[in-house]
Order: sequence, then structure tokens, then C-alpha cells
Amino acid sequence: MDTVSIGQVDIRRRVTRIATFLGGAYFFFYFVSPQSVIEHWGIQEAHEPISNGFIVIGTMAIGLGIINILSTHGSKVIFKRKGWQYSVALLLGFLAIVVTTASQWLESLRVSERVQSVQVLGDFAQRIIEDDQIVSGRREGVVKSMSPAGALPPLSARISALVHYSELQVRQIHADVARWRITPNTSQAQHELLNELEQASREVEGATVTLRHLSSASLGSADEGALQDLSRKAGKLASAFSLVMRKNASSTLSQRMYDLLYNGLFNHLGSAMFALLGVYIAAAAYRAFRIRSVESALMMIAALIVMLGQISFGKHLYSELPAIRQWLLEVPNSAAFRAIRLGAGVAGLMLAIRMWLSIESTSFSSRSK
Amino acid sequence: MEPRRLIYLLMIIAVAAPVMFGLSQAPSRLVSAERMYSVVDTVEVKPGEVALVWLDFGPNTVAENEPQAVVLLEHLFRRRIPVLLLSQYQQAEGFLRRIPQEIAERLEREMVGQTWRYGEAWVNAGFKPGGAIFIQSLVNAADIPKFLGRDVSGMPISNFPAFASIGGVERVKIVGEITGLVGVFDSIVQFFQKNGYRPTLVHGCTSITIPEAYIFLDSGQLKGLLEGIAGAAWYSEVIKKHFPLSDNSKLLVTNTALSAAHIMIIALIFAGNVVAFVSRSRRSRG
Repeated sequence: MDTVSIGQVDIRRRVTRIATFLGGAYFFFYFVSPQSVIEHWGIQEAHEPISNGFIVIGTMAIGLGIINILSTHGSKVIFKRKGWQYSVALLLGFLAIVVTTASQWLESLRVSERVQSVQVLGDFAQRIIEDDQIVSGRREGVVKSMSPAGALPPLSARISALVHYSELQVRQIHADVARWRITPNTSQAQHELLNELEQASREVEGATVTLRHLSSASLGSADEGALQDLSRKAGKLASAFSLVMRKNASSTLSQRMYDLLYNGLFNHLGSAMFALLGVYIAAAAYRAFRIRSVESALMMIAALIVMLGQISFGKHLYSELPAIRQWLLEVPNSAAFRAIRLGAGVAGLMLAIRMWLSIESTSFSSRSK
Repeated sequence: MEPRRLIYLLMIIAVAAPVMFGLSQAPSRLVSAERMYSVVDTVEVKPGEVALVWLDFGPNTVAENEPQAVVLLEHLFRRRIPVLLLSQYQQAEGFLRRIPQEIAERLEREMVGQTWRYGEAWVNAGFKPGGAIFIQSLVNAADIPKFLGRDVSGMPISNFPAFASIGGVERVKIVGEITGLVGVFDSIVQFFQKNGYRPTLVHGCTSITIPEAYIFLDSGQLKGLLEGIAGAAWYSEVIKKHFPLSDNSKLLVTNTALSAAHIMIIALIFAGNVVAFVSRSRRSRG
């Protein structure tokens, strides 16, 4: 039994090391290879899906994190270990934000689906023009409006479908506008947006009437113009509709809950935590920032110049302070930081090579044996 | 009262007084912010070209990063440059929604009759995981709207006319990165380039990362820098010089409060050294 499990661990280690090496090698060669080589080997087309794959694998860490939180804090609550009340607060907070964000996301999807159903109208009109141009040889390309049987439906049928769809959308929008107008607490700004939407839907209605009489076998320039007109007006309608829908979505329960949790609680609590640093810095300035040597005196002078050069009062003390501050940051600071970055870069490179060859982590290296 | 508590009290008063009484002073002139204004103001953007702005900050650095995001977006909106917003920091999600909306509403109040609308002035692509790999893929994507897919509300980005024809990264004329995180900014400097294409890169950083950001400014990889709240305050002053109706009063009050806190810290350093010197002298005298 032991022999089998040791063998399994060994295989797992080997697979992990090989996968790590191949992943590292791929990105290394992709980054250093000239564009011509990448294109010659067809890597360019494959790079996007490969990168997405790596991003997806990385995103799995979120799932692992959730499982970890639930198991650690869940067990603490179940067995009432010390501080279980804090775990309850954490789990409730976690649940509240997940439910709120998910419902807000579903609401957003509903809104975008509805807006897209209006947007399709313009695309439909445009598609009829393009297909007709391809069929009559005025344009190169592949006809897209095929029926399930693989044949292009007659122009009159496509126009009739377009007219029908347009009338349906306009009718629905009129009904929506009437409903929104009588909704309590509709603001002046929302009324203005509804006026714009009504105006846009009337324009589409007018453009649709012109198309109703179109039944010839192919499109003349006037017919094409009428379709272009409908496409343009449908685009305007979709834009106006999108604005109204977005405005309405901002007052839904899920959005208000999100605003309360994110803007009302999380944002302020996070800022308050960070703001405590300011108070600690003030205490540290009094207790620890002492001149004990020439070096510390130099450091203090530089710090004072940088601080005074950045604030409103500094220029009243000496008008050249901002310029001196600028010089300090651009010359001595840049030189010092470049040296630090260079050192850190070399160390990072060594670390990357060690990770690439799986000799850094004891979990995957032979040393753990 | 013990010194620690007195220090805390003094610090709170120093920060709160300018905010409560609305005290404001003209900010200090910062060359890096001025340089950034001139870069954003002069960059040539043709129809179909956009600005790409990362807002990589959360509630912890919002005090410094939000004013920077506001002034940069306000300037881009005033220039009618379509802005594609995104973040690689999950906590920024709420700011991606709120900040551009508030700027658009403010500009519409300022210039009655003109509109800045979602889908025309900006699109929110939301949080994107993947770090440096995401940036590399974005740069190599043949069609950025297709690569990014849908916006934060699930609408395909290619459905917005101002963003539909972006194509590849060459059409991104200006890149802005507002963050308190050094790693994300480094990845953009390192990977956001292709076949000789280098974007006009501007950056807003927190005060603590200013020294590190200066090496990129000095090398020319960075064309402009907003240094903490002070940088944003000076940038807003330059905007106000060109657009007198622009309201930066709140930002100037914040900057004044920050200045008061700095003065307090300088005073405390001085007091701490005087106390230490006196006690050392007493000890040496016996």
C-alpha cells in the first residue's frame, strides 16, 4: 500500500514538474522569439487560447479560496471554537455580497438581452442590404441570411420579417414607456430620457412604414436608402433604450443592496483601516525619527524637502522647494532605485529559473524525499 | 494625557479642521502632473481610436487614487476621447461604475446641452483576471473589443459604435494606470508594447510609490505622473486654468488637509528630536 502511494506521489511530482517546465518554456520562447518566427510556426493564432487557458487555471484559485474559507470558518462555527462569532460575521458578509452581486449580475444580463433585442433590428436591416449586394455581385462575401434549408429567403419575406420585428419592438417600447411614466418616483432626468426614447421609436415607426411597400425582387437605390435609414434610426433607438434601461436598473433592489454593501460599508471600512496608518505615522515621527548620525540627518533633510516641496505651505517657506524636491526625486532617488530594481530583478530571475526547473518548492523537488 | 493620545488627537484635528471649515490653499506646482496634462491634451486621437484606463485600486488607497482617476477621466471626457475602462484588481469594481458616471453628470451640469453617455464616452470592461498574461494577450489580440468580450453588464463591447472598430492595440493612443500597486504598473510597462508600438503611458500612484515611479518617468517610458493627492490637485488646477467652470474645490480642501497633516508630522519630528536632545544632555550632565 505504501509502495503504491509513494509511486503515485512520485508520478504526480513528475507530471507537475514537466507541466511547470513546459509552461515556463512556452512563455519564455514566446517572449524572446522574433515576430516572424512566431508567425511562421503558427503560434500567434494559438497564443490567445493558450493564454486564456492559463488565466482560467489561475482563476480556479478563487474557487479554492472559497472552499478554504467555508471549511475553515464553517468548522469553527459548527464546533463553536474560540472566536466563532467573528466567523459567523465573515460568513454572513460573504453570503450577502455573493447573493447581491449575483442578483445584480443577473439583472444586468436581463437588461443587456433586452437592449440587444432592439439592437438586432438595425443589424437585420444592414444584413439585408449586404446580402443583396453580394447576390447582385456588387460586393464580395458570403450570404449570411440563409434559411435552415440553406437557401436565401426571398427579399419580400426578409423585408416582411424585418417590418414585423420592427413593429413588435416599437409596440413593446411604447408599452414599456407608458408603464415607466406612471411609476412613482420617476425623476425629471428619467422623463427626459423617456421623451428621447419615444421620439426615437416614432422615427423607427416612420422608417418601417416606408419599408412596408417594398416588395420587388431586388433592392433599388431608394430601397437601400430606406433600409439604411431604418438601420441608423434603429441604432439611435437602441442607444436611447439602453440609457433608459441602465437608469432603471440603477434603482433596483439588487443595485441598492450592492450600493449599501460596497459603497456604504466595504468602501468606508477599508478606507478607515488604511487611514489608521496616518495616525501611526504621526506617532512614529515623534518617537522614532531621531537624528543620531550624519546619515540619519541627511535622510531627514531629504524627507523634509520632499514633504515641504509637495504641500501647499512649502512654497511660502521657500519658493524653490518644489524644484529642489523634483531634483531629489529625479536624480539621487532614481539612481538609488535603479540599483535596487536591478538587484531585485537579478534575484527575481534566479527565483524564476528555480521555479521553472522545480527546484524552488520543496513540494515538487526531489529534496522533499 | 499621555503623549501618544495627544499625538492622535492633534493629527485628527489637523486633518479634520480644513475639511470641516472648507479651508483650501492653492496646491504646490508639480512638474510631472503638468507634463501629464500636456501629454493628454496634445495626443492625437482619430475616430475609432481610444484611451485605455486601468483603475487598479480599492478602498484602501481610494483617498489618493480616486482624485487621480477623476482628473484624468475628466480631461479625456472633455477632449471627447472614448475611454475603455478596466481593472485587474477585483476591489476596484465599484469605482469603475461610479467614478465615470459622476464625472459625466458633473460635465453635463457644467455644459448644459452636451452629453457624456455610457457606450459613447466610456465603456466599463470590468475586472479582468490573469495579471501579466492578460496584458500580453490583450496586446496581441487582433480585435480588442472581441478579445474583451462583454462589458460589465453583459453587453458585447463591439455593440458600442465608438468602440466597435478599435481593432488591434495600435489604435490605443493613450494608456492610463491609476494604482497603489507597483506590480500591476510594472506589468503594463513591461508587456504593453508590440512591434515597435509603445503607448503614451501615464500613471497615477500613491505617495509611497512615487520614488519607484520616478525611474520610469526619468527613462521616458512614462510620459506623465500624478503624485498622490498633490499631483491630482495640481492637475485639477491646470484643468481649471483651461476650463474655468471646472469645480475642484473639494479636491483642494482634501489637499489642504493633507498638507496640514504633513506640517503636523514635521512638527512632531522636530519636537521628538528636541525632547531626545534635551534628555540626552541631561543624562550626560549626570
